[in-house]
Amino acid sequence: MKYVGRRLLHSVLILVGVSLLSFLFADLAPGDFYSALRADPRMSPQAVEAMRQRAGANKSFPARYGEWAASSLHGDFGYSLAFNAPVGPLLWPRLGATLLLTSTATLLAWLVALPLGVWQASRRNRWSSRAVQLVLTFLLAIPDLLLALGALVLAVESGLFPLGGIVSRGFSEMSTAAQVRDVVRHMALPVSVLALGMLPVLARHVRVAMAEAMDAPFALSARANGIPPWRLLLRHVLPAAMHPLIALFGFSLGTLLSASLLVEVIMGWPGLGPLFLEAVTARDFGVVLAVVMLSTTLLVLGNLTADLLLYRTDPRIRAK
Amino acid sequence: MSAEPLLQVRGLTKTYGIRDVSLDVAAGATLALIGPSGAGKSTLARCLAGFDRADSGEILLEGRTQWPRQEVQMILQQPAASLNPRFTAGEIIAEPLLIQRQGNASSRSARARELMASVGLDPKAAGAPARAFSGGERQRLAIARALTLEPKLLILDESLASLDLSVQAQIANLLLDLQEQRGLTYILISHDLSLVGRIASEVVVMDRGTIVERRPA
Amino acid sequence: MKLGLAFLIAIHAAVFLAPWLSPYDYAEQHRDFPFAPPIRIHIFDAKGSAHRPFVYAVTEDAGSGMYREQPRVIYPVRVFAGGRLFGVDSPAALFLLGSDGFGRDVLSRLLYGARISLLTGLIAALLSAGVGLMLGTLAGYFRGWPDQVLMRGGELMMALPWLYLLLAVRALLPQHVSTLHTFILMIAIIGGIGWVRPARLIRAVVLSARESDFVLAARGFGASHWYLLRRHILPFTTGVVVTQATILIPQYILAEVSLSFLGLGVGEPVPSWGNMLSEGMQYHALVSHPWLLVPGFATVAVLLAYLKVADALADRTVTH
Repeated sequence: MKYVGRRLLHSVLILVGVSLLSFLFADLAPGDFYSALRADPRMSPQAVEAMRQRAGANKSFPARYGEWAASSLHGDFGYSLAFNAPVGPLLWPRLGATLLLTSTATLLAWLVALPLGVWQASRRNRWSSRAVQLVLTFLLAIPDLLLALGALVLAVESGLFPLGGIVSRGFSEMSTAAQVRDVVRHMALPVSVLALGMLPVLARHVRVAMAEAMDAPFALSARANGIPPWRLLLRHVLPAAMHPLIALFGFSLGTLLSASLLVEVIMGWPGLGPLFLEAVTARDFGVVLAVVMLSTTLLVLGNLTADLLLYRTDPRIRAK
Repeated sequence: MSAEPLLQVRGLTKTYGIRDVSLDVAAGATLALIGPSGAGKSTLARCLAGFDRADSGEILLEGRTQWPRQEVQMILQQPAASLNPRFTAGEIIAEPLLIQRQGNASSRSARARELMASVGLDPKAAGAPARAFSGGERQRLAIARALTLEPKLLILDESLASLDLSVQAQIANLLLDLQEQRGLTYILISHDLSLVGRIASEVVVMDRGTIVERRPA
Repeated sequence: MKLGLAFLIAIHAAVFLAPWLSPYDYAEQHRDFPFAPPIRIHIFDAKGSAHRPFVYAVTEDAGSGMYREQPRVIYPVRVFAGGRLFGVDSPAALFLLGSDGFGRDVLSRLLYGARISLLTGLIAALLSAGVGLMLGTLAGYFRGWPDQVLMRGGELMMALPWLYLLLAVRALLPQHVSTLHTFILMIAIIGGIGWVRPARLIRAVVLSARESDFVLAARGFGASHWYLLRRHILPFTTGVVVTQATILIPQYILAEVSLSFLGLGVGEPVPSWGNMLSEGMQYHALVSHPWLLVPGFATVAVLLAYLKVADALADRTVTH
């Protein structure tokens, strides 16, 4: 229990640290939304300055940070000047879209990587495993950027997939089944692209974990005792290999918000990515900070989950 | 032989190590420190060699409370670990001279070769990297290095323990020869009672941080 | 490994010689030839007689945008013409990889653009490795508070999703700066983010070397900190530094390509593989002008080569 408490505290401290750093950095940045406004000839400098004052831009740093932190904890991320709307309601639907995309992709990637890695580990040094390895290495070298562009070409050429968006027009009038089908059609390509991007690394980790477990003394002696290979693989080796993989899974969770930015932007998926990009170009710090904090929170939670899962499954850590 | 002992230790104490240790070591003697693990032998050795500072008590070398580092040298147990595997034999032996800025490159390498010969190694191998030497040879290199700055006291902390028996015998003989030639004083920490019997002139037994017995070998 | 290394050397040599190797300047527009497909080089003319390699002039069919060769006049490929290795007389054009929307030669822009993308990756990786070396050594050798600061600070940095961080930092800095400033800025930002893992690895190496008996022995002879670091400890870090750099370079190249793809890198008309790709993102362009995607393939090739080299290096260090 002490360990859990310590890790939680640790995570909270990291989040606080990150929020401070981000806020500080945003503060130090030359210019803000208002400086862009100042360039607009229709507004007088006095009017812009008055707007700034009203928005409380001249209060002291601790005061502003405190206000921002307090309201953020309530889910109120302030007001977005660039989008002319409160930040929170701007974020939530986008957050949902991103999570839908990345969690499906992560699940898919794991579902393929696990059997693939197990199969590869069981067939070391045979040419079939090497061929697969070659394909995976090649895939690893292809950045998400290009996979997404390629998927776009596919969409255009084949006409089978919609180009962007999460739902088609007239979504609300569709039956539930049709709605589900519609979303799936829109999701298909982005999910595939993301999953393909994650696959090589995951498969490699699974393969390595399995290979190490297979070479461990307990496995070798089990084999010597005549346990049939499949039973050995699934009942003995795989559970042992799960340990490092659990940590990896936790990390996968952590990147649920940040893995898809490029894919979303390129394929027109209405998630946090495109919103973030627009905010960044418009120097809207409210949105930028909120998104950074959300992603970081998820990342820290992912790491925390990984650590706690490791703790639960590895008696050695507990003994410390 | 001088009546004044080379080394005098008075009431040396260090938490979690030794408690009120006092002993005298005569010049030219070989004092063996024996005792179970955790008895404080290595702690005492480290304090004598200057690697650790005791919490209280004093150490006098030839009556001085402060002395140049080089007068007391220590040789550790693992010959592989105490020599940087990437250095050549010559570099290892000459290193103390380099650090102390004595002599120039050619005088240092001449001295290194000289020392190699005196510990029974072929001086022509001075250019070989340390990892090319066997365990026993590396221990000879360590001894040669320890002799570079002409110490008065040599502390051997289980220095022979990880060597083969036959190599141990050779090194033991080498140590005896060097002692005679150079008038060295040894403090030997060892678990090996036959080795102790062979080269020690007196034995000090330690247990749980204090000296419990002292007798001639 | 050798193949990868050879390829990389060849690419970098080509990049170095870009002003000479490329048929045109990167900003040189040919308004008459927008989106021209790759020009074919012929040896045999329409009548079947052989010549030195030559091209035909092309004209655009106003309606379809398709280009057709005019086989009446031969334009031989000139070598060492006009300060460049290859060229043809106008009105013919030597678009070996086609042209973009402004009639600029893609091959030339590819070569010039490689400078930005590859060099940014290279220098930024050196920066990260250098900073990591310095901080890791300080932390591992002196322990105490430098160590704590490094570890905690590193944790904070690793808690931030890197692409979001990159975008945020880039956006928070002045938007419109000169090309040179942008180049330096990109290197600083990208390199400033990835120092954490190298620093940690180097810290571990320094820590263990510091505790080794031979360092202890040298200390016993009165060696200074600087001597110990220089002669005994730092030589053990070279392996880590090289492997880390090899891993970081492709990641950073990708970071530059991503950033400039999103419009946050060097601006028009200076090419970078990223901003060249963004032109291809208008999907009609993708399908009808696939040669615009060449920078993508070039990126994959370079990444693959670096991956191979990194793998080979990793294998080497493991077997030692």
